[in-house]
Amino acid sequence: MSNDTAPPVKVRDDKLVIDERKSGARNRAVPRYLLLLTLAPAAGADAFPMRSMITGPASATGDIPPFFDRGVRATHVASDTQLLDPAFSARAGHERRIAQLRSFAEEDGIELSATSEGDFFDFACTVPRTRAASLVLLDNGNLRAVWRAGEQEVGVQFHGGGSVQYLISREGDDGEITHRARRGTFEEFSAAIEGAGLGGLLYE
Amino acid sequence: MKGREIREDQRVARYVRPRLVHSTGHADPEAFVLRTRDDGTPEDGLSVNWLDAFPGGTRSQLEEVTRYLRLRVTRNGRFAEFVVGDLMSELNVSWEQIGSIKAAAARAQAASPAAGPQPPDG
Repeated sequence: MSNDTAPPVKVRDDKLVIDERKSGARNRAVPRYLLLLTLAPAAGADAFPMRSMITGPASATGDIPPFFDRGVRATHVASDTQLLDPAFSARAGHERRIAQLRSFAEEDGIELSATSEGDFFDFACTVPRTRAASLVLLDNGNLRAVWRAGEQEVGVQFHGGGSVQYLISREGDDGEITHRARRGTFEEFSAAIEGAGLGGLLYE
Repeated sequence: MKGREIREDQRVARYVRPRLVHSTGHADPEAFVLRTRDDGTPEDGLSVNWLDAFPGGTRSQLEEVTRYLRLRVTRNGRFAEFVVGDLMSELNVSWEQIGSIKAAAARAQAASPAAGPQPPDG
């Protein structure tokens, strides 16, 4: 199933239609619970979340789940390979969380920084099989991602423009927890993680 | 509440907004960072709510706090709970240094006698 050409899924007369020529799904139904879509609002559908995931039953031609309603266009269909890829699943989870944070931000009267969000995904994409991070939204609109296991933790704020501010908490052989905080580039951050021996916290 | 003072074995709570609550349920440290006021001056302390000023268990105490809180509390938010003595130990502060907290609580009480130990800020 290729996703580098036009999207093989269309919404037509309130039906979800898969173009079998493009999807390669000829003569077979899309596996139930495995149809993963990235959706964007059509014109005038400003209240619709930017991205969502369908996890319910799906067939090659199925009804649109009621919560998607009208005004939705499908932009991407995951391949079976992607669906099995933890990094891809982690990205889908991050996108859902960011949509939730964007909603919380509106309640608090702040705006999620687009450059911070872009940097987060840039970082997550530079390393294959990035584990899911826990994301929060700071007062300045920046995203902070945290990977944690017990007392050991890597937290990083994405300032935008390739700049990050990180805190690495590492447990030594003597059980003492040491903290290292710096501001730097992606490369410096990655090197600090490896230097602390905490690559396993972030990467599969 | 007149004449009562908070003790080391009592608890306080601070509301953490949903966007600062991790998926694990932990509050992000950002929730406890001093901020800058609208007039540009820095905050001189964090606002907390005195749980043990109210009767009952933690649940009913939090319900009472919520009634008095100026912030809108939502289902996805969380309260971070602390024992006063633990905070003093961790922060290495004395009662003299936190005298302003009691003073602020007293001012709030005077301004709203029915409200009890309402914090000065939300």
